[in-house]
Amino acid sequence: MASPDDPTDDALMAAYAQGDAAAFETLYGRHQAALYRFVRRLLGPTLSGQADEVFQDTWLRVVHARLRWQPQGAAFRTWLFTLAHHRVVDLLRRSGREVALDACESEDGEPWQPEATAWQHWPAPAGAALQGDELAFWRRAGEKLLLCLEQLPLPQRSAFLLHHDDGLDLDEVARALEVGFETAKTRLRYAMSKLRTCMGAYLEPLRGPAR
Amino acid sequence: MTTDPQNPRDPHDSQDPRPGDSAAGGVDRDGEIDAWLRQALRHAPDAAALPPDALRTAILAQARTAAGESGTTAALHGGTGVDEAHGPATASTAPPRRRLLHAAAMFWQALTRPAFAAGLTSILAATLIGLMWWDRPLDETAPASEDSAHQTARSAESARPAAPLPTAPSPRVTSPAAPSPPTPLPPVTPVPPPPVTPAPSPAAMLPPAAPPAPSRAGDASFAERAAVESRREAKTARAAPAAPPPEPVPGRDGPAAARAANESSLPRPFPPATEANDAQALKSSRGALRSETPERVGRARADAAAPSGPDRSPLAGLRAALASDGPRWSQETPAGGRVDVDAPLRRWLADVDAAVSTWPAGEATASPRAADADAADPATVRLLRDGRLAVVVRLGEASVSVESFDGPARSLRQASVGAEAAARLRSTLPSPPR
Repeated sequence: MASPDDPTDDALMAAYAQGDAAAFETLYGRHQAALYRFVRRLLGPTLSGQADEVFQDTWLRVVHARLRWQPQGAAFRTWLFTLAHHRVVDLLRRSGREVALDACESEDGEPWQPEATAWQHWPAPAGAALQGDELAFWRRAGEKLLLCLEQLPLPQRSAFLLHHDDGLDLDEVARALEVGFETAKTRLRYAMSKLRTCMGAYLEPLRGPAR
Repeated sequence: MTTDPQNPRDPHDSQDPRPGDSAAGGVDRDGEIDAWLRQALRHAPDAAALPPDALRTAILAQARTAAGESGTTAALHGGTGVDEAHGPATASTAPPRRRLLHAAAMFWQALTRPAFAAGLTSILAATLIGLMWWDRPLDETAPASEDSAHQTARSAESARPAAPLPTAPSPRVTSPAAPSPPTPLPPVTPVPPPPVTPAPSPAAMLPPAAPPAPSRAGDASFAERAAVESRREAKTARAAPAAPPPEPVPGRDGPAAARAANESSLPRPFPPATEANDAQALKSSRGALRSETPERVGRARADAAAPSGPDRSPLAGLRAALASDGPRWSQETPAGGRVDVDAPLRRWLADVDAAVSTWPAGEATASPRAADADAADPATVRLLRDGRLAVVVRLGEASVSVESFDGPARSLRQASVGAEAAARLRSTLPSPPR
């Protein structure tokens, strides 16, 4: 956990722009895990082999843009994930995949919501370290969630990951994806709806052994 | 449950609703976080995935290179603030070494851009090609350089007062200044006799463009050696009187000379070479010869030694050839034998050359059998090169002729000599041993 005395990302980036390589190392250590995870999950298991390339390319973009970078509104973390998202979109397009950025979503419409019956039997997220069956349950849930994520369109997937995994609020998600706030909110809503449906259907048979 | 230290948010920090509740509600301004999905996400198999160490090393190395310093240790980790650690390290206040490193890093970074790298490569390639072709014509048959051509002409002009050797320009003589693709010989046009005190311009001194004669290919090295020997001879034979300046000779440029000039289609006999024109010609063509082939070098030097004016003496070239290539030359005795060309004969040739004031331009007609007919004439000198008849010098009552043989081609040059001088020369002609 970063301590309050630690320099901010913006200060580190400014220091690196002035030639301080150690500042970049600090930045890298601070964001490498989250960024690498974000890239892997955006690419999915079929393209996970390209994660290293996208990850490196993203950081090299940071290196090359250090002199031009200015903390204008967006945090460094948001900008970093924006770069990674662009790289992923580029890679998907190069691989011949259709990347629908509008993801057939309507801001006015409400996504279909699953029935709550399947969720009523899920264990509540515990604050303490999980053990035993509960830990096994969440691990299986995590495996299934990755499969469900792959079924999401890229815009919804990226919105969900930025919000749930990387902790960006909706404003930052909208800025990172370079869309409006309402669009980001809609994408997130659709993503959560689909994931709940996918997860609920999968976990239904597990209710018995898990509880 | 594990908590991501990099993620400031935790499912339990927010009042996460039950899944059923959140599904029914909307997403507010702060966004809805499904604690169950987030919990599942954090227990996914790839939750603890980290980039490979090699990738980390590569990224950090490139970052250090870009930053311009590989071993900079910032004071950030020592508890000092960023401003304190890096405030002075701006581009304007940084020490020169650091600025230099920064500039090098910027240049290195720019090299990674394809457009910049391609442009730099093009400039380097153009520079390299330019250096390789420095002072060299694009066309091998083109003049080496305009300067060298002019210097060659100037050298020939400067050599004229010391040794006015009249001769006619031969269309078959090649020159580095005006070579041309091999084409048939141009039609012979009447050549007016040269002025008595000509001062031709450099362009006029250049022989007309003509294809190189294959039979004279070997004369390139011959002329080169002749030029060198001419220099040596000029130093050692200073006792010899300098050739008089050209004087008008009445009646010399009559119809016979014009007719001879009209029929000049035979190869030029021997290119005269003097110290002055040879040195200057070689100096002027130094740049062109820098990367030339030996053949081209020989041709250039032969052309530099070749006469570029209409009144060059054929005997000068012969004397130079005798001096430089003596072992190859011999004199044919009246009995058909061969003897070496000795010093008295060379001096006699020099005297003959000095007795002639001006060689008319153009070539005289020569009967193919004329050389054989007067073989017994005591005023005839028959010189062999490599055992083959090469030059016949005939001294008449008031004229001297030089007939040269180069394979099947022959050329004849004639000039007037005073009667007294002719008589003296005939009397001093050394007799070869019989």
